[in-house]
Amino acid sequence: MEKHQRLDETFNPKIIAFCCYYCAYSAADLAGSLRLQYPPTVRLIEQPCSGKVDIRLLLEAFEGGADGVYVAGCLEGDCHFLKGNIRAKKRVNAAKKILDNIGLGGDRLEMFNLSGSMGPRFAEIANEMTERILQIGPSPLNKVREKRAKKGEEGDLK
Amino acid sequence: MVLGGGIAGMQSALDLANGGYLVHLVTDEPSIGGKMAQLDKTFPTNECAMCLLGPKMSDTLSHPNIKIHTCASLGKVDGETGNFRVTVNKAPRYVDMNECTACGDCEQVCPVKVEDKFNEDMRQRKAVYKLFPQAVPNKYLIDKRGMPPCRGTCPAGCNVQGYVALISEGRFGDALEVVRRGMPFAGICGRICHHPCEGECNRQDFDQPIAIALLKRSAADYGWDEASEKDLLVKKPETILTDINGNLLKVGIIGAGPGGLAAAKDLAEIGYKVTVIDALPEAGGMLRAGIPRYRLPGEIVYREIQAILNLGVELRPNTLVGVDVSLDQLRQEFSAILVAVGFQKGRSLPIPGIELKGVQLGVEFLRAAALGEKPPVGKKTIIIGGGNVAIDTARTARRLGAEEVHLFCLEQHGSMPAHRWEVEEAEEEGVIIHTGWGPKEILGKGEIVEGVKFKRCKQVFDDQGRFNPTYDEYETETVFAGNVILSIGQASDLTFLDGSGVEVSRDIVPVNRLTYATNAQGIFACGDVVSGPASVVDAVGSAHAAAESIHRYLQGMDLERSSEKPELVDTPEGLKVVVKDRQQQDLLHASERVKDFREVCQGFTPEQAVEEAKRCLNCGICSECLQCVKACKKNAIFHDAIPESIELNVGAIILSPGYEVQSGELRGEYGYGIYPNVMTSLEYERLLSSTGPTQGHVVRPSDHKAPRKVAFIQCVGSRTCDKGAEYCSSICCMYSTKEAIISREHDANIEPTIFYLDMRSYGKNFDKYVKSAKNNGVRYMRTMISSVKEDPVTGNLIIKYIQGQEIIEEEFELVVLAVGVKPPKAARELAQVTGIELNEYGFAYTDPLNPTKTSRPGIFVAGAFQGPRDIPETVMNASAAAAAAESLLATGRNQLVTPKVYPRERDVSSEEPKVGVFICRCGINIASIVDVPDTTDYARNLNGVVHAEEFLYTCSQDTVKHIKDVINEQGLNRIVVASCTIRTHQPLFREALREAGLNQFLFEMANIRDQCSWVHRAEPQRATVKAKDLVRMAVAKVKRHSPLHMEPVPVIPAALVIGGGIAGMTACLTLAEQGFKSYLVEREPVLGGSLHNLYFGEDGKDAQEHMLQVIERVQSDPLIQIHTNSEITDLAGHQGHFTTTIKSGDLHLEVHHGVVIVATGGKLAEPNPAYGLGKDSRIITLIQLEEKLHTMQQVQNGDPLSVYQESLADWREAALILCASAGKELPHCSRTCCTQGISNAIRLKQQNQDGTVYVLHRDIRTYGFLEAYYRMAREMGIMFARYDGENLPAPELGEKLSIKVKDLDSELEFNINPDLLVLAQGFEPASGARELGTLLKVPLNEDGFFMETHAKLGPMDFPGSGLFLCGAAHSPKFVSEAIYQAQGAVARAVTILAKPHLMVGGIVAKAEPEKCAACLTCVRVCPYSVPKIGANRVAEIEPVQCHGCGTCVGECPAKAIQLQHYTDEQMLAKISAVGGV
Repeated sequence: MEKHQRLDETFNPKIIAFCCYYCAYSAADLAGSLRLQYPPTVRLIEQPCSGKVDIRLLLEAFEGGADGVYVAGCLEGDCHFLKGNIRAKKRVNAAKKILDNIGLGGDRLEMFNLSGSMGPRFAEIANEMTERILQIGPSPLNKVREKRAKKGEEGDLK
Repeated sequence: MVLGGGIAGMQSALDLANGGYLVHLVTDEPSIGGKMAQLDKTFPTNECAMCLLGPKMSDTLSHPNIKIHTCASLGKVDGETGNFRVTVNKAPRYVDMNECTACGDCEQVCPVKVEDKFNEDMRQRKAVYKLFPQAVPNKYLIDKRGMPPCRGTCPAGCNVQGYVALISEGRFGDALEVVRRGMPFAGICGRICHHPCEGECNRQDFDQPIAIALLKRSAADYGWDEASEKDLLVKKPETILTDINGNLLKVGIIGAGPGGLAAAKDLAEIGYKVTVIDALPEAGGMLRAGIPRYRLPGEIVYREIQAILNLGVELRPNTLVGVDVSLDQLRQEFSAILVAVGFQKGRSLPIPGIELKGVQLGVEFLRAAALGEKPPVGKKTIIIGGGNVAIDTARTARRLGAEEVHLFCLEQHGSMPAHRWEVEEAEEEGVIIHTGWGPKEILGKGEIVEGVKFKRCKQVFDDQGRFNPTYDEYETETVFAGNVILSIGQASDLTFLDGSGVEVSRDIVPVNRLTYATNAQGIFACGDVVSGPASVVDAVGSAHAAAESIHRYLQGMDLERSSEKPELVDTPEGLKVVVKDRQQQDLLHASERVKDFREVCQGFTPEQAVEEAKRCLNCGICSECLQCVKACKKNAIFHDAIPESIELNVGAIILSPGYEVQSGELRGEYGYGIYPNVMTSLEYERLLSSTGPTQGHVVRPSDHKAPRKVAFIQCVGSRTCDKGAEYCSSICCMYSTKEAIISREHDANIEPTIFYLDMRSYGKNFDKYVKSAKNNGVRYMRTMISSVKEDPVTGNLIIKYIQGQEIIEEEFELVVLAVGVKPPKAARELAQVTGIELNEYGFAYTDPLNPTKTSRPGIFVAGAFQGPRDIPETVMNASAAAAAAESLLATGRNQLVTPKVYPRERDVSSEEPKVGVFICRCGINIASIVDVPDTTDYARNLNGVVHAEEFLYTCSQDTVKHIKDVINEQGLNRIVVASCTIRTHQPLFREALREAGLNQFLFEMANIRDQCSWVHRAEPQRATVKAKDLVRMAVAKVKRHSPLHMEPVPVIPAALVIGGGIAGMTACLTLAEQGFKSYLVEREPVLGGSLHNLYFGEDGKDAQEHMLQVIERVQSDPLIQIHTNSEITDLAGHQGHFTTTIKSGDLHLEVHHGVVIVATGGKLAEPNPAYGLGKDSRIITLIQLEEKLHTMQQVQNGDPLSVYQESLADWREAALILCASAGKELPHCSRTCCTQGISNAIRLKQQNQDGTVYVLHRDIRTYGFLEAYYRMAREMGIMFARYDGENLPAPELGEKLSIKVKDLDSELEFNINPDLLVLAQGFEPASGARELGTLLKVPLNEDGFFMETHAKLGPMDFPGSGLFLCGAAHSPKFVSEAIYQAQGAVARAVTILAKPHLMVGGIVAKAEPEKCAACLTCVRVCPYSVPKIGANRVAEIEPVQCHGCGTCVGECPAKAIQLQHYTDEQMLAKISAVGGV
């Protein structure tokens, strides 16, 4: 099987979105049923609550190949599990500092709040985040990865 | 059975189902969800309504014990309590629920747009639709009203609404296909039809009918090429029909006119071999040889006939039956014969001179002209006749060169048989019409005609309405002309039938008018030969019927069939129609027209056609254009579905049909329905909603601009005697407050003002909510609005109101009317069907002491059908109704619930991951964007994947079965499905795994539809890359999945009830009715609680009597163990099995139980010392007053047991101060005191009619039906004066009590000197509540009342599982409210108690002891207080209590906790797969 080929030379960012099942995941579905269009950059990972996402996951997401990461939880005060989204926000802020310190840039990471019926907002967030990452450019980790991939060191394929 | 799918219906159904009963949930809506689904946010927490509702709807849908019947209503209720037989009438949805995947393909192609009721008509939806995007069940349905008059009137049954709808979208080709199903001559009839449809069009009630005929022409003119390309014109038969010997079944049709050809098309499409025989050289009959070319161009006729011949219909031209071939010969050749020869001959007149040269017959003249023979015309030509043929003749004569054409007819101008527009066009072309003349004689010179002598016609029809002209023979006129054409009628030539046995009668072939069969077997007739001269559309109509008969005849079926015509529908109710004139086509100028045979009417331009089509009102809603049928790849649409009735056998019935909102039009002075910027609160709610018409942008309807000043006007349709309802609608103050707050959240520039009378924020935390609104810029104005006027230039609204003594006019940009609540539309019918009583307001009648019980045993009510109420109240009494039903059916519990048996689970622990990937095309929903075969190939090559396969629909039953087979054949042990959303489809696939013997958690889904193909339509390549990524991520994670098992934990079927007041006692009694034991713990020596302080219930009945009865019942119930003088000292364990220590004096008793119900109530607050209680004997509390009044009542009733204590009769002036415990501010509303105070003021006044009673109040909060007390008090002359916290009406003590009253409403100041001053105390939590909260680990709010798990949907649940809440411990409330909350709490508790075991485990958090540092972080952060530091000094998480949110996982600094199914290993694998290849 041939190795990863870029569809074109432009930068197609990959953004991991940790989405709470109760809000953002539903909002993403709603954006779909309303056929709202946004760029195919977001890789959604469902979580039972945004409050479950810890700093390690956020940082490993960049290790794993993301150019940008965001956590999407319920509106403040609306958390299905009371305060998970507030805790998530704190962690995102902490992780942003780490990213700043290691030179990856805290702007690559963001916390968003929306409700399950805010399909349009979900699409808006995807657009906003894509725009931001396009501005910042590819993650330096991914440049390294690409080099390694060329040597055939990585990959899930048989 | 539960009726109603709103929040009440769902709550009752879920509680019952979880309590071990089979529930039929019947709703007349296509989705469950009710009114709450329409709301944007909820008060007082501003939570998203849909987010709360969504999980509830999913739970209801997926519950194995709940059967949902949508679009269904109650037909009949027979039988009796415990054994009802209920007839449920189910309206068809026309979309198969099992097959629909909600892909929306049908919706995309549906051309019919109608007002969307769900969005309060502020947006349009399609005829095939889902009620709202998150509808449950997530299935489409079709909205049909019935037969629109246009379609029902068309003799040919042409589907007018269907093609008009398609034209409105510019889809001319599809429209043409729809036209041609009923009318093969679209271009022809579009030009010449007399369109009876337009005469019936409902649009004419508003302005003018739709120009249907011209639209049909547009379909043919602009859609022909497109339809031809899409192969829509020729519908070849599916099979060629033969007889038993294999010979083709042949039909012969005599006459190639419109009737003959239409029948030929029908029969050929079915599969018959059809031959059409005609005397003329070309097919078409009158279409070709009768109607002049300037009306009907030849090429139009040619192509439409050719399209029929292209079906394989054989044409035998130049063949005159009876001359060239005999009927007998035809009978031998064909299995059936259709006679459709029409009326081809012109009629003559028996008058002198008729034989003269230059006299012609109109029909023959037109035929010659049409066939290009140029029949002779003189310079001056006379036409005799007033019908359409005469007009055609006259206009043809003009075009053939006649300079002067005179038309003479018997009739007067307005009653000529010719169509009005034809006459007008003829006159424009210079035809001179002479009305009221009949020919007397044709004059000639030798053999040549010279002129006509006419006589005056006095009357055309006789008294019986028969054609029988009478003349004045003496009034004559002679006109000279070289040419005379008689167009007075047509005749048939049926000589070929002579001797055939086919009956002929006066030019007509008599037939059975239903079957069009003649008296001769196998011979049918249609068209003019049957009816006499008629129109093309009539001929086609009879041709359809004849063709069907021929088909039935040849298939050996009964010819007779139902002749029932469907009823025609009128304009949809409440439709708002904007007047818009119909489009006008261009006509060739008359001076140009007469020059040749160019077409006169130019038809619409395509743009005009679209505009005109958009005027259609879509009376039938679904037009049956069948575009959806073509679009649906699952073949799930069945337009001919019919209603069905089912009979259900149920033990109890719960009615929760909800409510309706009052109309904004009730208050005409506010201009709703006239001024566009005046809207109702429900409309505004949709405006705020992100799924609403503006996606949550607050813009005003008139100009779509963001408003700045928004006014909310309260009490529209409520608290009024003549414009709506007398009662208070209970919810509007709060929902307006919410809407005002949310408005500002959406747009900080909005300045909301709420105009109100009393702020009825009587519920839990409501006052705080209003306060926060005030702090956030919401202005509250207490005043009545007298009028709203619009500034016509700006669209702004000028509101006039009184403030103090001044009349103020203020301008707003948007006005929102807080419309009240009224009984559901179906209330009366429902009452009739079920036999229950309604109250005076039309809501269901219930007894306050048994709040969910109706007048018919076994039937209960829940929710707003009992009266206006908010969501938590609705949830409470929905659960209470469930409890009541459960009590009734306690012996039948768990009997109808059959547990499903699954195969033994395969142990996969020693196997390498063998992943199967199943990828869905979802018709074209995924496959048209994502390259599914490529993605499947890709998946196949991923590490660990042994099987990958794609399907058209992964969720279809056959595919699910196939997946199970593949799992077994290939020994798969991990499954990935890449399709749609886990929200709707994960349960289905997990179930499939279980059925295949795999643990259900060895599964992962990738959402490549909702979150990929649907949202990346412009970028298919990158969407495919994303789909591959998502599949790869899912595979990476699923490889690390391990089986999770649910373990049974036994349940102890007993409850601990804390608090022996009315709530606690009711809870125990309700538990006992259901057969559950309870331990009732009461701190005081006697039961009764706060009831000891209550003498009259809110219904005025004796509360003490009721209390004693209840205590007696509790004491005598063997299932209730009473512990008075007792307290709880310790609680341990978890839901299903708690262990509690009860301390009674020095005794400690340990009891075991499955649940805890907290019913600790509260107590009266001390009055504000400023009011001087205890300092003056004339100052008493409201309770003391009530006690005295109660005693006096008993004395008056002659109750010998009551002792006369103290007279009240000596007062002259009495005052009652409400909110007397409060100081400057009200800490929280005690809810009941306004009603209790006012009802006692009434009793006081009744006791001394001459006395004056003052009620000094802040807001009067007699919500709901309690408003009647307030009204009655006002009517009795009780004086009301409003004070505020700044000026407390504190009495000056002295010889006289003196209170300085400053009424804020009237701004009057005066002194009163009451000789009786009554203080209404507030209500506060019971002492010790906080300590109990700590013991039970349940939270309290800042007022000290217990805090439920969720203000809206969990008013009886605590965050910790197995603990429940009811009564005044929750918040102050009336006895009836405490009763139903207690019953409701029991229903909640029973969802645990009814199960022998709780299944625990699955997605729960697990602590790893070796990593735990016992730092208490998890203990602190868990929202449910589940983690504990156990005996081993490490964190222990009880799986029974864990909700699986993962909060502790996120916070644990040592990473010592893992959430099963979302472990770090699994998540990291998924994450690292994002960047992989």
